[in-house]
Amino acid sequence: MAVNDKFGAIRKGLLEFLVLKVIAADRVYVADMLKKLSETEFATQEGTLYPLLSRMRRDGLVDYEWKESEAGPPRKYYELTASGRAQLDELADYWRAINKTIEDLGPKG
Amino acid sequence: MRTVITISLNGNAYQLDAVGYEALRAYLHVAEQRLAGNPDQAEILADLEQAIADKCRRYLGPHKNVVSSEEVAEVLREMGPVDGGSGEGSQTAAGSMGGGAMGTEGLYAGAGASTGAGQSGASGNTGAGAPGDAAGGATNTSGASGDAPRRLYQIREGAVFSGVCKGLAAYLNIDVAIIRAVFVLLVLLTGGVWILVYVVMMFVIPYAQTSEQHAAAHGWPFNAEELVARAKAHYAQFRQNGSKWQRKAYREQRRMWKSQHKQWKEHQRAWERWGGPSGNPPAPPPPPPGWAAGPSSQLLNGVLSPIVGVLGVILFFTFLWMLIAMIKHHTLFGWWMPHEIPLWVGIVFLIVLYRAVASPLNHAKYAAHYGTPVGHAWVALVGALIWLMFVAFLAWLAWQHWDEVLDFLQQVGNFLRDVIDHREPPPGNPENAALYFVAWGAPSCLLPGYIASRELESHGQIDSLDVFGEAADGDVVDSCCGDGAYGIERHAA
Repeated sequence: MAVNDKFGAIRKGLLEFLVLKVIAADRVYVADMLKKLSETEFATQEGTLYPLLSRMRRDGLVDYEWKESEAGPPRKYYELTASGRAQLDELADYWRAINKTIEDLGPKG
Repeated sequence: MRTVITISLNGNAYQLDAVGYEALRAYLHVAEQRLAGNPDQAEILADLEQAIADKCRRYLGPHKNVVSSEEVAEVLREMGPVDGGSGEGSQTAAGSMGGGAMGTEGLYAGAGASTGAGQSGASGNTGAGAPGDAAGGATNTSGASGDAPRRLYQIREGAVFSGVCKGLAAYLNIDVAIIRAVFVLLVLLTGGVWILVYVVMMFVIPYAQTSEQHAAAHGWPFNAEELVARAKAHYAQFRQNGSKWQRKAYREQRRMWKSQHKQWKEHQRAWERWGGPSGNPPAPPPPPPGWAAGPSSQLLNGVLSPIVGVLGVILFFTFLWMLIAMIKHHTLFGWWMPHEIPLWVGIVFLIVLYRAVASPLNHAKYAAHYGTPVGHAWVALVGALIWLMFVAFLAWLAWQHWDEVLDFLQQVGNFLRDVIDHREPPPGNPENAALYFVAWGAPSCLLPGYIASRELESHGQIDSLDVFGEAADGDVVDSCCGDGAYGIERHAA
């Protein structure tokens, strides 16, 4: 089993965290997010991202507003809500903790 | 050349070729199913459509306004599988995350497989290289056939009475002949009470009217692809079975036409020879000879057919009335039957008598049917109408004398109980066993089950009802047949 496959479930679980980070950096629409993520290990697709964003919006983590674009129809630009920002901080802390645990366990390499 | 289908994606029109359209439709269908129960289903679908539209627009230019199937496949591959499982909290445990991911992947593979099938090898890049492609496809299909709800309906098409047996057969996935045999057996064993059960079922179980309900009756999944696939299968089967006799019939028809044409030409030539020199304007040619029969015999057939039909109906109901009289009062032709003669002998005698009288009549009627070249359906219709009128009349009569009908029902029950109680065949005696068989066979003729065995051709009237149904091929006719049969049943009872 390739390393890539072994971390498939973890990448999927981390996707929400990553999306929060991407949105926190800048107000983006879905194509932007996909482009940013496509350069990383967390490359994803519309089929995954739209349902995820829809749930995050229901959970009150993100919100969007329609904005006219110069080419084509208006787009949804996403931004973090206050609770989204709080969630991002929590997740970031937790991730740092996990990283530390991994670093501390086993031989130092 | 390819067929182009125009679709609207989130309010914008796009043109796809037919194969691409099927692929896209399958993708959105799967997406819709995966998002069922998601409160934002409509919004997500709209977003997905918009994303697909954006991607499609990439492929369009001033000199290209159709998105090809290859391009649609590429777009869908970029879109990726629609994740319907995120609503169930994907951030909980790693295990459940894994499960969710697996499910999604399997589903996507299924969508990919169906896309591939739609492409029919037009392009090689549809498979999307998703892992476990075949497995996913299999899961998808088995899921589709397993999830389709199966409901109990009455199926009128090809039904003997009302379609209860057909519906049950479809529901239980058993051959209808077996169900019917079981029903006839149950009628016999319960002394006719089962007829009432059937009637109750007839009123309680709804009819399958729409194609969707028909699909549900058989437990078939109902969607467009399935319908098309089924229709194709039916057509292929029809061609396989039908082509042989079709060709034969066509050849015979052609031979007949040819000979008729020749004869007609000769007549015309003779006419011209006779009328041409005298300078008369060309008279209309005589009617082509050999159209089965001359006009006079056509007329005779046309008149004869309804008469024979009426006679047949009268004969059948005389037979029925005599049967009833025999069971009720133990009389034959108005005389008391000697008590030494058991009832079943009388019934068998009556049936044999009826068949002996009715069969020449039926033959006459068929001859009349096929003697009229143009009006097969018309003659059959008249016959069926006469029949229906009689049935309606009898139903009315039965309604008027409901108490007596009930009384008779009870007597039939008693009679059957007698048969069951007293005519157990002693084992190892073939002669008695044969008698027993006759005694069983006779009451079965009394009961509606008998009409089920119309292959016996003892009732031309019912055949004509059938012809009527085929000729008009309408639900109304079918329902008439159903009601009519119900009338007979009640009267027979």
